[in-house]
Amino acid sequence: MVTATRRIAMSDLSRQKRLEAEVGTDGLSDRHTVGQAVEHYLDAMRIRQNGLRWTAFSRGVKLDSKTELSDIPEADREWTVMPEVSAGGR
Amino acid sequence: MEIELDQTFAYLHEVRREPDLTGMPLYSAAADGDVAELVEEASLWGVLAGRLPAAPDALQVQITPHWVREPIIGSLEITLAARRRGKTMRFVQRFPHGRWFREAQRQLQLLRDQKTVGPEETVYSMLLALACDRSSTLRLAPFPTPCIAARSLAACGVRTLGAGRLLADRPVLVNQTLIEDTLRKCCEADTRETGGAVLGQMIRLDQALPGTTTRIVTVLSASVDDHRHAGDTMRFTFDPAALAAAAQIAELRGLGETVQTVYHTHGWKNACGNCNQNPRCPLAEADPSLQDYQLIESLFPSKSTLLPIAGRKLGAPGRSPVLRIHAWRGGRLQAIPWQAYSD
Ligand SMILES: [Zn+2]
Repeated sequence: MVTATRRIAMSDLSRQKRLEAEVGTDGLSDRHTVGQAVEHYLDAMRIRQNGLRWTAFSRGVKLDSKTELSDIPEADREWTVMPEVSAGGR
Repeated sequence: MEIELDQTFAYLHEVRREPDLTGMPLYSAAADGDVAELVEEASLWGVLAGRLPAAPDALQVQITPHWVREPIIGSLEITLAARRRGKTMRFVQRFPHGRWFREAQRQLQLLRDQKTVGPEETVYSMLLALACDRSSTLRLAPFPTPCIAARSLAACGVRTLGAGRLLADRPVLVNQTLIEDTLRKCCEADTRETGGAVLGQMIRLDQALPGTTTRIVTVLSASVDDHRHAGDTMRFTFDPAALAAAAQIAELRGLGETVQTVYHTHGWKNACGNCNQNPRCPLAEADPSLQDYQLIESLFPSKSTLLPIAGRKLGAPGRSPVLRIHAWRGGRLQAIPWQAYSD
């Protein structure tokens, strides 16, 4: 079976922390999920998870963390990764 | 890029009852990650200041502790030597602060809550460097080339420069409309917090602006509010879907902007109005809180990130809130000067 090489780019909102991963080689396979890919990005970029809920967005739409990478359409290969987080005076 | 790290110490952060190493620590944890963050901050500081190349072929990192008395560190000196096309540029910065300072505040609060430490009792936070063999290494984050486009101010919509002044090695320009919007929102929300996304970009000019020493300028051009973000007294929660929508807006504007950061407010009491003069005003000043650090480090993990906060500032003139913009400097977010512009 021949699998096309696929690239996923993950970055923060400002695009200053950016990781491009080749699915099948860079520690990610087609069977990995969106959630696992996000974990991979956070670890590779040394971003502390801080116990927050992290999600990936593509073209403004949230990706289901349980979706396998093989089921991600070609047009959804540029992700923005971010957590739900609060600011405050305290 | 090839990175060479001269690493002869392992770092430890401790909170203790005495200002020395007698007795058992109240808290002790490895702090190699804290020090690795300073290397990243130094590197971006150097790049944005025009003192280091953005995409070097090789980077040499040297970390030198300056002792209070060994092994207690007073500050860390980080020397970066970046080689590009056979030419080496060197950048040195001293870091008196780091994440361990924030961790100490958090730990002190926990220790007080647990009644291990009395409400009036003093504790001491210290960073220790312990000699180790050279095989143990810090896990440095990758050094991605910062996203900086060669672009003119006019192409970013900057027509005329207004009030304020620029920091020589980190010039930041802020759209007058953004300033007015955030200050108005701060007043409208009264003692509740509010906030939104901030669009902008980092650009490389042909020439440094007068009074500055770098061609790299950060332009904060617009704020995008969204009802999905939720504000309260002393708290503001950003909704990821709303921020993703702001990123879409940035793309549609077609100016090369991204969501550079988020702003939020620390409240303003309209019924009082004396918030800048009254030292007993219960509202937090427009300084980053521990929670703000967690917010900005999670949403915008790059050390190039700016943090704008609107609110009261003791000693600021007048009966209206101020907008303060913070940048990573010396291991913490510090308010920096900036200049307004009109589009
Ligand atoms: Zn805050």
